[in-house]
Amino acid sequence: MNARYRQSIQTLAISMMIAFSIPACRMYEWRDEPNIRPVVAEGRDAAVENLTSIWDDDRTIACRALGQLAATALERGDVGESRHIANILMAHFEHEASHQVRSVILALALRDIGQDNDTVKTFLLARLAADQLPAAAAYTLAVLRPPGTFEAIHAAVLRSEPERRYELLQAMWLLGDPRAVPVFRDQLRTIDRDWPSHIHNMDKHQYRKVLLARQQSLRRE
Amino acid sequence: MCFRCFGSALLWVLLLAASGCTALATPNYLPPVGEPQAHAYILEESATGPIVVLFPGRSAPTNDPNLGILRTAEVLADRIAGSIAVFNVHAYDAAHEWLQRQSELRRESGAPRRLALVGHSWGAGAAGRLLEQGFADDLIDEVTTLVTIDGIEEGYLWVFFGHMPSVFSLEILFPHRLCVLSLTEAPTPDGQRFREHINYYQIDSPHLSGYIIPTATQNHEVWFDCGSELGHGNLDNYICYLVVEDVLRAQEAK
Repeated sequence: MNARYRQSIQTLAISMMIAFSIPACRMYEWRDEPNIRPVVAEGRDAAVENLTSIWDDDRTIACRALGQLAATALERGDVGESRHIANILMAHFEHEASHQVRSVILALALRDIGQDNDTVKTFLLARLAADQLPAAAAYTLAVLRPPGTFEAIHAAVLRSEPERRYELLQAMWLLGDPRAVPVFRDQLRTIDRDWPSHIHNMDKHQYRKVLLARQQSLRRE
Repeated sequence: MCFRCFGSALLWVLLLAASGCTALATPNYLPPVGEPQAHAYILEESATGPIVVLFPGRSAPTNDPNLGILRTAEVLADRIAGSIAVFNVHAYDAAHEWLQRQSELRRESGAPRRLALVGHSWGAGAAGRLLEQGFADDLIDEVTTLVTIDGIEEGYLWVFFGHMPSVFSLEILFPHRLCVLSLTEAPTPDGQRFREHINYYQIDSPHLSGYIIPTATQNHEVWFDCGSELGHGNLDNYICYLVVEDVLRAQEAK
């Protein structure tokens, strides 16, 4: 093998190594979808098996895949399968350690399959009452709108620290109940006196502006 | 051709294919209504009612069932009688063409040309661009709301090199596309023709923070402070119902 031939082979090999290493970077902007698709394709049992993974990301993806499988089952009218998956997700929530996975279950998976499932709604109300990821539970409840949602969010607002209160007020805004009007008024009245200087990296001027804007677009009837 | 030339050529072909530079292959035609495709999905069309255009992040196919913005569009389509479509940022020209078509339909029927825009990440830049071009080309009378989610405004070069994992993306080599993706051209709300800009940003994923700011610059100040935004790619799904309500209430306020 002459030197020139060997050099060309080396160049080609290095080029290919670089080119093939690029897809290893996550090209999908931190989005989980490309990782969810193969799990969905493998079906429910494979996704349930992934719930036992030691990696948070695997369990997160499994929960999102299960949510999608349940939603697909609902679309084709298979209510039994949807409810079965919802039960799996709720059971997993109870002993899941990761904040991220629990958040996905409450804020995404159950939101998309809980519309006609009273068990899911009761579960979410219980999570909110128990202060277990109350903001995520409140947002999903504001979408599913079971009876008692406003009262549950209001009670959580009253007992929560400002940072969480801020999130719950947004969920209350999403719910669109006119009874939120005096709640917002009261909370805004106390901002200068009782609320901290920063919430989620926003200073008081900024988060007051957010809540004021939300107050202006509250549903009043 | 010697092996070295062949190797270099192959490298560039593979780079183009693998780097996320999907624009070269992104079609720009308008698909039929109700037929989801990877570059565009027109959910409904009407000669009256609001026009809603949504742009997901740059790498998100518009027919992905997990796409938060697609869910937002579907919920909006259930609640609004008008024209609603989702476009990939690389299919910006198709979005512009579609907006022209909707504008013409309303001009013929005498209906107001009210536009709502939603954009996530790089899609926020495309939304801002369409807003500006819509006014410049006299395609719209009013923008009721511009909702951006982790919008990119200033400092996208820094975002690329400092934070994005896909630093090899060849999009950086196409300056005209960076113009499309820049939000700096979007005007600030005047409360009349362009009524409001709502930007959501994410600091940590369990929280669902909505933060109304005039531009998206501050978003990236936070981004730089924190070094990363957990869940950035999925934020549009977390907040999809908030965005739906933002669009709906902006319509109702008129």
